[in-house]
Amino acid sequence: MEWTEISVLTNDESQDAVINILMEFGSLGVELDSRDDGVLSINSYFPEGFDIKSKVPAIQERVDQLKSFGLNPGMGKVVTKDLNDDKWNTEWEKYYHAKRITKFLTISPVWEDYKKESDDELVIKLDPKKAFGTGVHPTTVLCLQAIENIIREGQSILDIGTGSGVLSIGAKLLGASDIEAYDYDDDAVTSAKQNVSLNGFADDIKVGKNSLLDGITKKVDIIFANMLPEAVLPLIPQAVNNLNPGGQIIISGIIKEKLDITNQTLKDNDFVIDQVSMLGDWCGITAHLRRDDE
Amino acid sequence: MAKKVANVVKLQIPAGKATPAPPVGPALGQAGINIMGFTKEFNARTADQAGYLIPVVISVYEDRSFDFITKTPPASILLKKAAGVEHGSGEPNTNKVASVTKDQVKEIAETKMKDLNAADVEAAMRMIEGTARSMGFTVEG
Repeated sequence: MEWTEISVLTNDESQDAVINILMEFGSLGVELDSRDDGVLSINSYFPEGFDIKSKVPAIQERVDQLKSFGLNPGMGKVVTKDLNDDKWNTEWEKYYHAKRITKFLTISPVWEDYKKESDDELVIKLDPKKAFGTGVHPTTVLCLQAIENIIREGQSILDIGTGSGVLSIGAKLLGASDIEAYDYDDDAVTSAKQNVSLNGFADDIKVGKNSLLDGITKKVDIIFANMLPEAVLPLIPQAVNNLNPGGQIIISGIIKEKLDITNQTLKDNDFVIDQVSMLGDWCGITAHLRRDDE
Repeated sequence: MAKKVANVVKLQIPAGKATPAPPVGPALGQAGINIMGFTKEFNARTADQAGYLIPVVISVYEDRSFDFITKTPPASILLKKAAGVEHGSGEPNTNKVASVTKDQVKEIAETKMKDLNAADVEAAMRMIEGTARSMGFTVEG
């Protein structure tokens, strides 16, 4: 995809006024580059089809006006550049290598020919698309560690907010048998399907589009929810109806400030918390539905 | 030993809504950061500030790990909130769309002071007033 970069060369004094001009012309954010020559380059990006180039004279006029409002815009020059998204999507890949995530699980990028270090090592192959992670984010690590600790041969799984599909693939490698993975984002569904196939599990893991557990009636042994609290909190009361008696939920994506409210929501919905793990600022929670004898 | 900073990336992006699209993608991709790792972390930490544009300074280390700090929203956003309007004027010279008081400008200057390159609050106020006028706001009082 082609993008147009519109940069305004200015200084600190006019920074906020220039950012406002760019945002009013439709920019969704800016990058600030303090150059060695003292010039502040404020860069904004517009997708093809936006026709921003025809608006450059109007942007320049707004920048020129800043003096009349008592601001010194410095150079005050508007610069246009075309940009292709190929480079930035792949540039970081050279820093991303296979990594042992848990006792048994290693995540390897698809472009690396990774050789197992031991017979019991299980390797997840991932093609980390630009939006769906490499599998080494703390929230993913917390989930995979929890899965490895609790999963038993043949257990059934619902993986909600699956993203790249990494948790379902890990669960399959660790012995789960009946796995369904859902995401509301079309790109995530595509990415998860590709990764599931890449690992040879296209027949074992069902991937589909769905919002949380809406309309899903099946009951399983374990639910995975590696999502931000805004999605996890409404999922918890839903999960009660999708778990077998004593069924478990593995939650991650919880930043530590949101741990208390997440724990409370679990308790309010008759879950018993088994374990809370932390990695950096992130928390992972394992809980089970209260059994009759508890 | 402290990790060595290889690069510093400064962005201003909407709270809770960072995506791999520009400006995040090109700035972080070229710095060697996993883009999704940043967006997930940023969105989690700023979800409570929805509606604000958030300045973020990202330190990229030599091993391509990173951390970041967020700063106060830009003056233009605070001015719009103070004036109760969604947009500034497209013709700020001739079409005035809102007004703010000197007291409001002072309050914003004090909020922004730690992030502004200004000698004192009076200098910060002059910058904020200039920004306000460039948006088609009048400054009263």
